[in-house]
Amino acid sequence: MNFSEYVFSAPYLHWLISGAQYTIIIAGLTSIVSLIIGCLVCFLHISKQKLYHVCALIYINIFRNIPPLPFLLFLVFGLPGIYTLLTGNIFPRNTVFMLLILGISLNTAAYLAEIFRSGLKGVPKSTIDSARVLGLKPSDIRLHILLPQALRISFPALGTRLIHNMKNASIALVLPLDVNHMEVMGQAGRIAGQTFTWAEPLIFAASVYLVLTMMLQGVITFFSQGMQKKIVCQN
Amino acid sequence: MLLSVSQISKKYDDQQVLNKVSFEIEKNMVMALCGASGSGKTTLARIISGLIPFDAGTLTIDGTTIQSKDSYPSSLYGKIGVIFQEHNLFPHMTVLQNITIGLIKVRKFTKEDATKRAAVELENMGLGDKAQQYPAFLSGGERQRVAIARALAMDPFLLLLDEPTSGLDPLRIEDVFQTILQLAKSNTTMLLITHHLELASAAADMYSVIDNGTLSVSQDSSLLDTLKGSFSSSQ
Repeated sequence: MNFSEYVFSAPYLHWLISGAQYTIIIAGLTSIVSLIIGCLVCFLHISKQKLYHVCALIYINIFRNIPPLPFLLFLVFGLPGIYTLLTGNIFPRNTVFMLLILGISLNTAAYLAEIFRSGLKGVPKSTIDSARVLGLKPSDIRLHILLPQALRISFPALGTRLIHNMKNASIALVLPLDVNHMEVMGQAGRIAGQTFTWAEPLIFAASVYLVLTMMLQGVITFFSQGMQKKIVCQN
Repeated sequence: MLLSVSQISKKYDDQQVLNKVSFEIEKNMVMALCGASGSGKTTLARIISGLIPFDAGTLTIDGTTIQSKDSYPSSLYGKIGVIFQEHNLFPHMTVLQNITIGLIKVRKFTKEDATKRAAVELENMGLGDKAQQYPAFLSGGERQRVAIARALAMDPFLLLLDEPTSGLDPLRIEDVFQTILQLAKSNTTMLLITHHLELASAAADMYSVIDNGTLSVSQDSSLLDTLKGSFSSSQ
């Protein structure tokens, strides 16, 4: 093992640090986008409008059951061909990073929609009754009574899914991203391509994921425990 | 007449839960409603508080008449203070927030005024030091008294208590018992649904017994004697 030569030397360390930064950026962006899409799909799923409910059900079943890797490969290599076939135009260039964010987000959002839905279903109906007899408007009940409790119920599962989402960023290794947008696994592969040495850069990349996911786990546990201890019955 | 229930009927599937129930409550009056489990007491409470519709009859609350086909007027929510069996406090809010949310969102109090009003109600209930606690950290009796404080803070014209001592241990029953007696002495108009015959006898001016969906009303507490032996007087 020679970490000083293949990891901690120029320009490899710079590549790996840039890769670690992009791992965080990909995880952050996909988390935000998937939270937004997941919320929307959840509201469609619980809608009394049958069409909305069915659309959400189809979305969840498709994106939860297709592995993210073939879906991303389809987005990056299959979609441009279909686009050209249908429109006669060439698919816009430099969209791989955007398609990566979209692909991972669509996959994660399908799980988040179900996590949010179970959270909403888990709120005791009795507290909603209480809010109604107090005279709160439906919008106030949703905002101040339903959502805060649903978030507390779904938070542990949500955290686990966001950790999984962060690890999904490593799939970017197989996509033709330019070197400035590669996450840490991609940069490790780049070093291996130049040095024919896989072990050291891969161990570094795995360590980056380990540290990042453990940090995220710590943050989630901190907030989760803080929320739970307020509402767990002591009697 | 503050509350008039006239010929109210309610069916769940094939089961007739309420059968042409009629009674009236005047201002400053306390009416006790007793009956075995499953006799229709809670269904009646939920109809009066606007949580479920009824099949036939007329409900008149403070001059507003509601027929079975009408939807419950939203203006009446918040004007009947309802205390449920299970207190139904919002678990993610402090005791103070539980009380102020209705004042701020429904009664349009400023936060400062709502806090002052809540503090007065909590002080009256002997819970002045519990304002910043979460419901999970209170005893069953304290939670029930917070629920009473929350209802009273809204200045309701009728207090509807649905088995407020149910599920409490004897010490906590005594807490709630004394609180309800004080409310009765201070001329609070109440419909007191209870299994606790001693409380019903001590607090009420009018007594009613419901059996298989049919209601009997009397000004004589001896009506409750028909229930003795059906269930313990200390429940």
